[in-house]
Amino acid sequence: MSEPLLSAKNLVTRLFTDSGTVLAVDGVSLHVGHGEAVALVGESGCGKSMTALSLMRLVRKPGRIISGEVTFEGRNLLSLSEREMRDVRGGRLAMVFQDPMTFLNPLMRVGEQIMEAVLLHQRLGRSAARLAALEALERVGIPAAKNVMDYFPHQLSGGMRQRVLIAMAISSKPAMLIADEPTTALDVTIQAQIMRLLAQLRRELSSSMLLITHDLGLVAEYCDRVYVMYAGRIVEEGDVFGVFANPRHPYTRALLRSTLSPDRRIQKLSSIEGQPPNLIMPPPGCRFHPRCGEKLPKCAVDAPPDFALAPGVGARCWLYEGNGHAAAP
Amino acid sequence: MPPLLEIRNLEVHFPISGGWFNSPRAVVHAVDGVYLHVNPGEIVAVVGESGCGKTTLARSVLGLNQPTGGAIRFRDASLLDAKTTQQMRDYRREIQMIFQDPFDSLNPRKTVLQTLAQPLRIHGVVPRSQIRAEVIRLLNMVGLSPGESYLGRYPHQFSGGQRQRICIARAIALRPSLIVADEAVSALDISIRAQILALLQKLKAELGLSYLFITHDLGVVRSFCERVVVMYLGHVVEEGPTERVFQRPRHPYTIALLEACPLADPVIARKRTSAPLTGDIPSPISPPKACRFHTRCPMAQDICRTEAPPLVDDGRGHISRCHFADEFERQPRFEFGASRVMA
Repeated sequence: MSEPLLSAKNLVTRLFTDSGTVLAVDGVSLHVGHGEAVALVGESGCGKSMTALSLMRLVRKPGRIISGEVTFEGRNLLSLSEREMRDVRGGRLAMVFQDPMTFLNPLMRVGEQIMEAVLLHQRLGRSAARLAALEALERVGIPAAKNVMDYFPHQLSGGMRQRVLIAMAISSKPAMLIADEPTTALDVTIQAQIMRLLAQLRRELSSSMLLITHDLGLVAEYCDRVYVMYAGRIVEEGDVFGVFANPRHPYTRALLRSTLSPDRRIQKLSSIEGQPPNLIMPPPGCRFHPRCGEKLPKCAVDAPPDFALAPGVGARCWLYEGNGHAAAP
Repeated sequence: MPPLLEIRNLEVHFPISGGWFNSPRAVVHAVDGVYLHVNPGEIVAVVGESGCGKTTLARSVLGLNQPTGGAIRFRDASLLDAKTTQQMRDYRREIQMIFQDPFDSLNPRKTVLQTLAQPLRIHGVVPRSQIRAEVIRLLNMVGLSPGESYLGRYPHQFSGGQRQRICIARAIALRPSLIVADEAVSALDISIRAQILALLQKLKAELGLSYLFITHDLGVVRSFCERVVVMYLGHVVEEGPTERVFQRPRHPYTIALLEACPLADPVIARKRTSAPLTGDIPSPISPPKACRFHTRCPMAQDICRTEAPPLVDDGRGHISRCHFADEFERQPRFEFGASRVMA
């Protein structure tokens, strides 16, 4: 197997807040292959966004990356200088966020902002950069892109703003796009447009995508592989079809059971009792054990390792002790 | 049995001031000619995207904004004509609400006891000496038990799901018959959302409640609601029993929503081939003439641009506002992932 495009090993990121140290990302390992669409799915506060920010080295105070390794195109991003990192970020490795308004300058015309991104990463003159920006806008399906170049962000709808952000992200023809809840703020019909657009661009640019989301529906429809995250750790990984048909970790099972999908009517609603733990003082042992219906005595004491069950399939759960072999911690 | 709540030809227009001497510059057509009813013990969903008027509709039912036309009747009495304070107070007692963000709807400086005691005191639901016991009973009912241990806590000491439970306790404190829930579970995580829905189901059975359930989540609609009303730009475009609407949709917008919503099943999700709706949702300030959906409708014909379609009942309580509603009769049952031939 060839080297993955991006891989993270034992990534640890903590937030040093007044009320204590938050173990936001606690030993996360994942990889994204060339041309692959991979999902990182979990509920709020599970550390999925913090993982994405750590991969981009965008963690801000009071957060800090403590240890681990992030390899992208053969280079360890965590050991690059800030200057080198700026070249990678928004260049070969681009990101799209949930709320486009936070990332667009309200006082700058849309075209100028995309040009800025182009000029930062490509050796082009202003007129060539303007053409590149226009091409990017057309590529993301903005009608009358020529006019939109002169618009300010507030003149655009939420869906159009997200398209502008995507245009900015793809203007440098990145090898990989990290999309953090890119459609959460949008209506369903607009969400469908944006997700299809991302899938189409990924094919055209033969790039990879890491989709950070809480929506199992988006995972099912648009991703090849999935990592399920709970309380700062990845608890299950596998290809999307396998995880949905045969979830291994009790958390994934419970999550799928309590998901209400429009394609079926569920008479008796099932839910996961309790609530996700506070990551300042997570429970000992397996972090899911207080809510788990299948727990064993040792779950409250020892944290399970990641058991590899098949190539690319793993679950961090003691149920698989003996069935799989524990991967290196 | 007469409906608990009946809305007829409701119209809510908001003027946008800012012209000369603050004269109205334009009008937002938030809700336009909406008919809707909720029977006793029923859960009715209102679905639609931003700007469809679902929240304005909810606020009108609660008396929080003044409709510009039409009628809202509750237990066969007009809500809009409730002039005296006493009448309004009676409605407030009968119709309660739960909102999306339980953080915004609880006073951060009041303890749980203070928050829940207030409506009991104002409406004199129980004698003053029993208020504390009643609050404890309510807390236990919504799954915050033992209730005693929560009385002195403040909203920030609770998680989002627990805060929503407090809001529910407050909503049922006055023993209402109708609860209007505006995106009440949308902000909650999947595992918590299911808990809250199960709680609402339990309370409905125990207290004989009805819900008007405003949401954009079709998964919640299918498993939780008995009837569904689909809105687009201030109009009701389709209404019917939930299973019937999901299996035999009679409006192109409903079909587009069903085609666009994410499905938690990779096998079915990937069989879907139809292109998503193009374009943005038009502004309710100047909604398209005739059929409001024609600018985005894949089936639109000339008539859709010139004549507004009427609301037509198929005789079984399944209503559609489309010139071609009958065409859908000839279509096979709607199935996710199945390819369809549109007229």
